Amino acid sequence: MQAISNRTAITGIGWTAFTRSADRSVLALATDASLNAIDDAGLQTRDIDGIVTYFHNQDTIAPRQLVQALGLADCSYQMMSALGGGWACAAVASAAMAIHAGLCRNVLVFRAMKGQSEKSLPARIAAGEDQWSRPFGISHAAARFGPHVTAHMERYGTTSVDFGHLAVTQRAHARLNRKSMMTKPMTIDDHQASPWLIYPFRLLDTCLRSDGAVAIVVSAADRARDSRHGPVHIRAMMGGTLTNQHGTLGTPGLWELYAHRAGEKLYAGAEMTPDDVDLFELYDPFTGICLMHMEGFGMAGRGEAAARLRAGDAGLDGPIPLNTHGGLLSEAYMHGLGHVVEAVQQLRPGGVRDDFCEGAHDHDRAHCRQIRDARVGLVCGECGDSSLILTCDGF
Amino acid sequence: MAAPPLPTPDHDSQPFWDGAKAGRLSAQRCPNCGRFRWPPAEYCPHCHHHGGDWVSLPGTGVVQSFVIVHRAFDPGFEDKVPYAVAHIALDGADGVAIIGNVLTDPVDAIAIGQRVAVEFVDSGPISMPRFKPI
Ligand SMILES: [Zn+2]
Repeated sequence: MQAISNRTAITGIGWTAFTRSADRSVLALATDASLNAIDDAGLQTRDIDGIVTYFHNQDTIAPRQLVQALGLADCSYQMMSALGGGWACAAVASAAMAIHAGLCRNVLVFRAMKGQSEKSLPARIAAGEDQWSRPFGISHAAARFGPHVTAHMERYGTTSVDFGHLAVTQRAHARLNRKSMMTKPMTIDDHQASPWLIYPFRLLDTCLRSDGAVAIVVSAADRARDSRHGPVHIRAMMGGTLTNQHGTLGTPGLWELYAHRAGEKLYAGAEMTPDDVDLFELYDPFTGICLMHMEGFGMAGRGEAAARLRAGDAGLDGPIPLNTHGGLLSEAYMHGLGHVVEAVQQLRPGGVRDDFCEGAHDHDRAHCRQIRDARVGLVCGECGDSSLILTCDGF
Repeated sequence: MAAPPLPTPDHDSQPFWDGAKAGRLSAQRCPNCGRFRWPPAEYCPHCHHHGGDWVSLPGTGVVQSFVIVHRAFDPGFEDKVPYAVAHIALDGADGVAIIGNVLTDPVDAIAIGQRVAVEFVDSGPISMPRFKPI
């Protein structure tokens, strides 16, 4: 077990509305989600003494701006990483480590952006590592990550229809989530009729762009017992396992992500196997990449994720529920921190609070998205470069 | 109409782009351990020897994988869609794969395992490599 196993917990979660055009600043979005998360934990802003965030393309505010906006008198740790969606779970790990090290009592992790209304245009220069990609027409992440998926299709026979099963499954989950941006029903035919954006991805294989923010509060486990909604413990963590994205180092070929190695290390750190996990919230920028994450984290054997999706195994009542909130494809693009929020909701004693149940969860999929007997959840960021195993209180 | 962004050569990459201007595809090899590396760098990632030799390559290779861009998200490529971008494993430089455009007719005739050869297109200060099937 990792030395930090079960020593820290997620005690608060918060979010704003997810929209295509927020009529407020990124700072306001971050402040709103943060105040919600702090209140959800049963804490006051004065209890927060660390702030962590991450970004891609300079689309966020810095932690120091949130220190000011929240009026914190004291802050012992700030961290801001440029590693984007790969760092979603590492942001939580970083907060937990600051607490475990004794620097902080409660650390706020946030991700805020106006990813749709203020999306940035590609830069006109291609310097540094960009000189090897952007001049050849790679500006969208689908072109950067797509070759992994094309290679997987060639090696294992994975098809666009398989990707459709993932998109349809996640849309069904999103329809049971009050936060979701995409709630229109989707069929395999709808998926297959959607236009190619960047082969092997169609429009309905591709993540949303969103304006909004999410935030979570991480606390020491021994102080977390009395939190308002009960703690969700951090059992194991990995952060920043990124190696060569082009598959020439550390992986056998483009058809495999470094998630396979990261998954082994994560499970070893938790002293668990994939069979112990009740729900998977895996980064899903594109269907095919999420399918590769499924294999990396042991939801399916190599080349076998497509068969599991076709069998319906990833549904809310299947053996391996996946992206129970709808994910980046159908809930909102919150860069992976939304996946952490969902795992926490599923693992709390009261369960998710933003489905359509009135009163107790009854698992009727006309309105309820709560997983039965959810005790262990796994979350990962882009390519599996960071990941978490979370457990319910009393596990 | 915006143009595609041109590469900005730096201390590590200048010899590659100089070679391209002279119609030569090249990669860096470690004089100590003999292994190739990509992208260019001062230090060998295998043995950490300082320095590398630039070696001219035959200019042929194999498509390892690819995408086909149907919608340009960079305005500089709006008049180029659909176009293919591939990872190409270069002959004569074991372990080196570079990103490049592959021109086939039609565009979806590109395939993994296809053998390709480089040609260079003059774009002012830079010559850009691109590949065609052989
Ligand atoms: Zn060497």
